[in-house]
Amino acid sequence: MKSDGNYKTSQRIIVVPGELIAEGKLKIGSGAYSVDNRIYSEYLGIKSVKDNVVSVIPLNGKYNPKVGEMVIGYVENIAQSNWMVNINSIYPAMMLASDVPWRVGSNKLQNYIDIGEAIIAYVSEIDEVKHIRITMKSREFGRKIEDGITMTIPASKVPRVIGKNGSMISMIKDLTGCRIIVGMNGIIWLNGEKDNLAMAVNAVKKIDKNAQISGLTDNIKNMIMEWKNGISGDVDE
Amino acid sequence: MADEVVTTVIREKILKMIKNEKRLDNRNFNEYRNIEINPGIITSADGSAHVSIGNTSVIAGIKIETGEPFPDTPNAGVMTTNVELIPMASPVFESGPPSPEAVEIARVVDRGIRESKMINMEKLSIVKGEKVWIIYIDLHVIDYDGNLFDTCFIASVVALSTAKFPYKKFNLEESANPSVPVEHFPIESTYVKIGNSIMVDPSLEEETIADARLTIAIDENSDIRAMQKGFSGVFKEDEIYKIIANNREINRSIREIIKGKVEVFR
Repeated sequence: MKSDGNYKTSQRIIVVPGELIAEGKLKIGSGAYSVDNRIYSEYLGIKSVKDNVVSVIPLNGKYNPKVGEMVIGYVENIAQSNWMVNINSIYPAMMLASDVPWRVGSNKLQNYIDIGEAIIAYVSEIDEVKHIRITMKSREFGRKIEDGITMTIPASKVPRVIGKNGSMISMIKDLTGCRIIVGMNGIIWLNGEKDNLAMAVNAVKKIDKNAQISGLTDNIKNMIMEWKNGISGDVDE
Repeated sequence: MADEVVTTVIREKILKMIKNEKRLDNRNFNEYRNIEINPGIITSADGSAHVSIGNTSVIAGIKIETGEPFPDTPNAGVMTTNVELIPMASPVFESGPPSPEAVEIARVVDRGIRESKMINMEKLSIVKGEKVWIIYIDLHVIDYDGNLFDTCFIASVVALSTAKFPYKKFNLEESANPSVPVEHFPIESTYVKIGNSIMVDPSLEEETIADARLTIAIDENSDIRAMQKGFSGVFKEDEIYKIIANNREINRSIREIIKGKVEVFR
């Protein structure tokens, strides 16, 4: 049984759930499972083989949290001693009153972070049934977001927004002069001047839409440069 | 819809941009998002359409059967509208019996079509007082990103105007023109008020923070056929007159897009 009928977009192969993606002695990465030494895909996504590890990167979907990753989320609900934070995962994450850098009295949680307010935090704990705990304490990024804007993209496309060794994100930062923080969960915080901010948002949206295309960094760079030239051209006239 | 949370930074950004007559996605107040219309995407239905406004996307299916008319209108056909807000479309939609939001959308869409006399109900009669056509409009929300009213309404209008009577299925004599008798062409537009600004086609964020909402259905002569006010905020009298005057201009271009698509498909 060979897996025919793969749809090829340049060099990336798109696979469907249950499709046979490899046979033999290969290690199983994320998004793949094995039955009788055969490896099948778990998601609709792009197959990748690296160092004898077969994995499938989903095309779309919610964030699958991992301990230690930085996430951006917003408070959806407040209870006696904890906040429930939407981190673009299938379940909301819990943040206890003791997980923030301030001393918080009980029943006064909304004075510190209210419903709708966004925070930058770290995933500190995940148990067997995917109860997620996040913390803002004792890490460099744990803080509340007071300005700028947030936007959400599928978590699987975060690596494309960051690029190889951060090439994509630093290019957007340099050209637009915006400050950008990409949460591993697909929520992105951006801040900058009016038009530059709009351009940075457009760039991220374009990456989200064209994530499977190769040579995307140059593509985005051209887009931003064209826009920049357009603006200076307008001023000259 | 009630449980949707918008981050405070986005809320503040929207309110700030509104002061400069701008919106979060760089539209102006009288501008719709990109409208895409695909009639006839379900071949097994008697009429169908997939319509998306921005990221909001809805599939409408028309099912036509024969049946008995209601005793108080023996010569008129029957039309029912149903909206399904399935959990796939948004994390805030729950499965189970229709939510109040789903019922409201179905009622507003139904009213817009019925009160504009889009379909001549008398022509749906087959045998007077005994047998009529019954039209079911089923709307499935595929993706929710604000403004379900307009998306559902356009989907229903397109699906209805491309629908055909299934004569063969019910052993009836085929007519030369099997199309559903569409006589008017209504369009519905939804406006929201945020602060003191009024804008058409609200996105999910705008809809969530809006104070008041107004939906207007007008026909091809720009006559108002139906209205629905939502949320707890208020409109002033002159604001409503302003919306109505604006609405005629905005709807003209949308009507052209829809009519073009329908005529090509027919």
